[in-house]
Amino acid sequence: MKYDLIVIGAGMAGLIAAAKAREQGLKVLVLAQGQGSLTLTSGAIDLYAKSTGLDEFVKNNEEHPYAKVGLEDTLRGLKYFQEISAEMGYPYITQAERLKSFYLPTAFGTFKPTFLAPMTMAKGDLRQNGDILILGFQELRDFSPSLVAANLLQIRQRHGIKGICEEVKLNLNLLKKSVNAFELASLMDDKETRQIILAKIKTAIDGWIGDRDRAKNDAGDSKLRVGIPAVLGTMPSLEIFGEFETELKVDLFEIPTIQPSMGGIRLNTMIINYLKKIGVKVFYASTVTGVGTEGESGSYEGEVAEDRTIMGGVTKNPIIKEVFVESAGGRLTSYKTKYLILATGGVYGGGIESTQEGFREKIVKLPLNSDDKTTNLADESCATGKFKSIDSSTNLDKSKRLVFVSEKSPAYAKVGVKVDSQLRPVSEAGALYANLYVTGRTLAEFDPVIEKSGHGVAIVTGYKAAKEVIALDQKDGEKDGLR
Amino acid sequence: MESKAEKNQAEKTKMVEINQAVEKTRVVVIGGGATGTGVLRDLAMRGIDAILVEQYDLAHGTSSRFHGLLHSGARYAVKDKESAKECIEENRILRNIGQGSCVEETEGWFVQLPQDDATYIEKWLKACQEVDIPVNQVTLQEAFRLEPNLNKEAVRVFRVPDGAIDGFRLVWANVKSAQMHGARYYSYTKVNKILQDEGQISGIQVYDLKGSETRVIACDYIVNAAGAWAGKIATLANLKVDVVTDKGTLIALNHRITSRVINRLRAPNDADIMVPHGTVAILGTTSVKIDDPDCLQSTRSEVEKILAIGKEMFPDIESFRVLRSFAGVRPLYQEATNPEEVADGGGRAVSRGFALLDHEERDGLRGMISMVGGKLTTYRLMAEQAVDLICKKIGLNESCKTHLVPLISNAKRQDFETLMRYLPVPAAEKLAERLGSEVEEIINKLEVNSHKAEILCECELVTMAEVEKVIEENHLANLSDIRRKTRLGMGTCQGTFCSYRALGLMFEKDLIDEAKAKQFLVDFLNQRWKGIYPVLWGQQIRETELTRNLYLGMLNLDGMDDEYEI
Amino acid sequence: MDCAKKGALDACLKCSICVTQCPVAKATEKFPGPKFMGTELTRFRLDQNTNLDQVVDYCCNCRSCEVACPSGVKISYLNAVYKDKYKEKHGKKLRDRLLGRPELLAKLGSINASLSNSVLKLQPVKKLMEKTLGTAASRAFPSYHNQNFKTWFKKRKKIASEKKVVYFVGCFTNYNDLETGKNVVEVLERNGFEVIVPEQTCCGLPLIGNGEISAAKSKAQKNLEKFMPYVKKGYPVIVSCTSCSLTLKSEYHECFNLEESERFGQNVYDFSEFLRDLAVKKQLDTNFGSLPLKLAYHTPCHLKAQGIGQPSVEIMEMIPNLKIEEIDEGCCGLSGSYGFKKEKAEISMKIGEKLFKGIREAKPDFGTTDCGGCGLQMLHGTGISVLHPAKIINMAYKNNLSKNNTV
Repeated sequence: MKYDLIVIGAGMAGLIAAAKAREQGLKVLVLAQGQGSLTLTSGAIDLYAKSTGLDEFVKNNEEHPYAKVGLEDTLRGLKYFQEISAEMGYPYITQAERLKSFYLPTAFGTFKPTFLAPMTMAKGDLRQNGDILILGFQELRDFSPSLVAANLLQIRQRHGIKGICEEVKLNLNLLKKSVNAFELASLMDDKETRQIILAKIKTAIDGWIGDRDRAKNDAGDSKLRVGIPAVLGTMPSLEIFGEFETELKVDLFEIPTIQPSMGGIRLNTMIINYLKKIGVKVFYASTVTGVGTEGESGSYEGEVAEDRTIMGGVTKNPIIKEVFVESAGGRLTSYKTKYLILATGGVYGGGIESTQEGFREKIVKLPLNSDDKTTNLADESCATGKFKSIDSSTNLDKSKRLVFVSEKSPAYAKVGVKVDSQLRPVSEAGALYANLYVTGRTLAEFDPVIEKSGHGVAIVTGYKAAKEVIALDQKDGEKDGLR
Repeated sequence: MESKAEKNQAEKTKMVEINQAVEKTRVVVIGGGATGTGVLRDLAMRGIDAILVEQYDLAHGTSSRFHGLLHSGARYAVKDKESAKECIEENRILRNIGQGSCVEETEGWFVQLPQDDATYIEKWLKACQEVDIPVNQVTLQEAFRLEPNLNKEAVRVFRVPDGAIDGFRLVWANVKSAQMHGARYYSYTKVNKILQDEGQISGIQVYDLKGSETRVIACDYIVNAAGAWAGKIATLANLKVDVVTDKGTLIALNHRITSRVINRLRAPNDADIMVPHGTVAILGTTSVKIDDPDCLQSTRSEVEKILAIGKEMFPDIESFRVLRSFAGVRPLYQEATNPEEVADGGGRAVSRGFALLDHEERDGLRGMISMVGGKLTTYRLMAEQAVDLICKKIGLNESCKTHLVPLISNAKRQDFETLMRYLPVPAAEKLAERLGSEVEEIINKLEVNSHKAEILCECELVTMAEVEKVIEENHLANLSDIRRKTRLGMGTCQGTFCSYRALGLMFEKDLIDEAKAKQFLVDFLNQRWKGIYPVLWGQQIRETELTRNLYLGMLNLDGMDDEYEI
Repeated sequence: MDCAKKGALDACLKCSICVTQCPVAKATEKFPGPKFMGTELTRFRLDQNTNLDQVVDYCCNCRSCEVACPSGVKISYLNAVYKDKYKEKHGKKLRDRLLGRPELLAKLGSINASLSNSVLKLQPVKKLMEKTLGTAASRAFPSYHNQNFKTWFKKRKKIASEKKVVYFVGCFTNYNDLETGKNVVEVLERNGFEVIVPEQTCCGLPLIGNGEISAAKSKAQKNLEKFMPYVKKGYPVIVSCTSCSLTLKSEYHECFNLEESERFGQNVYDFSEFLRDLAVKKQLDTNFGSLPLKLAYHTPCHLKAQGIGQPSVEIMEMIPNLKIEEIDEGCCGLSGSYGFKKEKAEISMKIGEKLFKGIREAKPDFGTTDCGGCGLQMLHGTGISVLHPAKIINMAYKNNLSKNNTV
């Protein structure tokens, strides 16, 4: 059973690549050790949010994945994702203006610039004037409505946005113990329980809004916006959201909670369901330990380097032939493939392994942009005496403190695999393998956390890699045809 | 030299200050570590009115920044019989008064590896016998069965009555006991001036960091128990006390990789003690002389050194996760020693013994004594001797009782069982160990609202009810104040989830505003980062990515001071 | 604790992915979830003075948490270790001891199979057993037969071949589901293999699930002794129950760390996995006859945990006119003996609800799944008969008697 494409990793990049390639008729297999970190995200898609703007940023950062992919394919990739979401009945939408972000409230009451938002969150944009009510639940830990409301109010005031921002914390009287967002969302899945909760929410909102304002609200003059922690069901669907909006007659938006976070979980389910629909197999608990390669001299043209040393021996123009999967018990099974996409993640996902000695790409052992130990944080930056031990209760010069909450990325954050404009891993001499592509967090020279490009880079590089695979497959097909 | 006019002016100012004193007490204890709180408890139990002031939070200094070893004295037996003898005696007392609260009777082993000097062992066995430390040999088969992570090449293993002691809890237990006996304490209260009148102590002027105000406390006696900061305090009274500040770095491992204290059986050296401590295990230490006790950053190279040496005893140590590193300052003292010499020999050359300096005798200043040197195991003895001296000065004939009365009264069996109805077993156990009979208050909270059984810190099983109690009882300056009292944020995820939850709770109780909430969160994350930074590889770097994704990604904490076009 | 030693405990990042995958936590408030029960409490339990929580018994050992875990933490096993410790300290229930030993149960049940079967179906008997033993009255016990697989196989005419496999039958197949055993043998023989059935005992999984680690370990030891001589000759070990195959593959080595267990584990194949490997090597007889049926397929959790995908589906997809609908609704809820316990029967059925609904809605002719236990539960929850893939494949073979080796 030979596959056209094997994708290693079931995170955003891998799943998008698999979807795109399968749509073009390729036989695709996704291999994953566990669930991708996709489920741990808020579910919103970030692109790039600093004031410089994406166009300029791409121009000035040639090594950034967006620059490798190019602006055009970046936007196509995002569009492609949107199409999937629409088809699956859980649409993601953009702002009207080109490349502009939503400014969505977070569970801390800060704002988060986001490029694509699921419908259930999109109405939270805090730049819109008008009153906001934040609703929380006694039973739900991990979400403090009063903290959210207070911070939002303060931010809105600072930016001259009109409208009050208050909170209601509702006691559902349904549970003996506190629950997390996932548990509450699971309760909401049940129609009967949901109706009880909805009735209580309605009473609470009515009580807050008062009769007169209710009439005004329902007339649509100044519609109240209500923010609720993201617990409206576990499934990627607008059913519950729509039901609530209709019944409550307000503009509703979900605010992503800390993990387990429903936005990420629904996003994962949505794409997995899509893959099932189009016929992509996903094997979990499959740890890929390595790849088998073969040299085929003269098969490929262009930037592929002439000679390459692989595992001590010299091979010409190597290509990947198979991947080895360690299944339960440790037996290695070979899966043959024509093309391979690495979507194994970075240090978090496990694609880049970190040890005391430094970093390495785990599966193919690809060279990294920087793998010496110095990136692994040297001593001088925390040398004796340079930093004081006290919490900020002492007024110490900021520059002398070792800070976590910083606009600067830690040294390791941009470690990754260097690629060419087709996302093929490269060394000084050129592309290392003709049929290998690298995507997502495994790539070098970006830090999604600080740039606010989480999911954005993953989607567009996954899309791009699949596109390259498809193009190469067509070329190979033509060649085969000529023979 | 001061001119007479200046001197007069200065005296006048002092008089004014003393007259402004808002509070008066007999004895002021400076320093909220084990020694200071031990002194406070002893004073209070002997009926002497006393106030303790601490510049940060209680147990902020060395008392919480050590390996948590309750010495049997065996480690010092060869080099310093005096210390060893004190240790074994205090060890017996503390196991008695701290049982069920801050002392864990783990027992300790001394392990000889093939490369260790065999002649030292004979000396060691003899020395232990001389100071009456019970030593029993453990068969290797038994040793490897009980401690599977121990190096199988170990040659000989001996059992001694070492234990683990929780510095945070020890300090809290002492201070609570002192409070019950009428003593007061102020944390985040820094001593600005020591006030004297004609060669007699008259009070202190302090700066209250939380209230941002200066005030004066009048007193007759000052006990300088500021540990590594004792030299700085002495300077305020124009005295010279040479404290050698010696940094020791330690690492905390994610789980108990041993069940006993494991010592390397050789002359004391770096990284040769492993102490199991609640949920973690601590390996250390190093010894480096430093200039400023406030400069305490541990470094990557120190951590690597500790791991390299630790590997000799625990060959698999690299497969275990290091949670964080931290450093403490040993306040070492050696009167009439040239500090240069001390520095040359490194901290280990200086005695671990302690000294009680009577400044009346030594410097002609009446009413002040300084306690320097020593180690946590003997904190109570030091306190006893200091208070004996105070009593002598006052002319009070009251003897010490701190060795007889348990530090806290243990939770009632019946309360404990009630607690188990609400909480998972280990959570109930840890809570009872921390709070003793005060678990009653937790039960009251739970009975009113069972949602308060919610676990805020899942790694260390800290409940909402306990955090609420801490919040209500203390004027908190930061989230670490909760951490030190509960272990919130000290486990595997290093505060990734619980800090958010604790903040929400504080905010909803109206204890902080939104600006403070942000500041608390940022400070807490930064504070945790200091300890994670030197161990940033493997699982800990992954954990950091999760934390970054949550706080900087999902919650966009770094983007609050907006550089975005809104 | 071997699994923790490998750093597995330390690998947990508290990310909560497992929490969202745990079928038990979804079904009952009583179980606080795999992250809490597994890695979080383990750090406390390592202090030998810590008392143990009984709640750990609610873990059904389905491994959904382990499959989802991106860090490779052996959560279920951490739980099993502490079930064991708990029971050591607080005593084992007779019921759990019995349920952990299906062979013993079966021997009792098979003494007079028809009598046992009819008696066990009587509601008053079930009620009495619920009261005295703690087994669920709502539950039908699997039927026993007077003839088990081993006695059937002994009487059977052997087929000799150069190509040999050894068959690990498993308790359920041996005592309750002879039909599957017969089909497995016939399919393997059709592909030219001589099937050897060595003396063997239970794989040990029910004991692990019921917190009897050392008893499980001695079962493992016995099986290793009986099978290793064949493994050393190069004969693959074929297992037709996914729970047994998972245990043989990984637990003997990763958790018990028994001698030669690694080599053994690497030679164990799930029945369909073996066929798929043959197909890849173009050695499988693919001359299937038409089977105009519709099947609803459920993936057993213990198959997911093996990381080999769905080999039986891949094989069955080769059968002409056979329609397979995958019902991807997670755990069936039975988890071996778990669902037979009084206090867990309801949880068990609640877990399976979605699966039952999915199967019913698919309106299949039969259900199919690779695990006998899941099959029981599917039948119990839907009333729709469930066939093992071996049966389906054999049916397709029987519909086309000419052998052919092409893919």
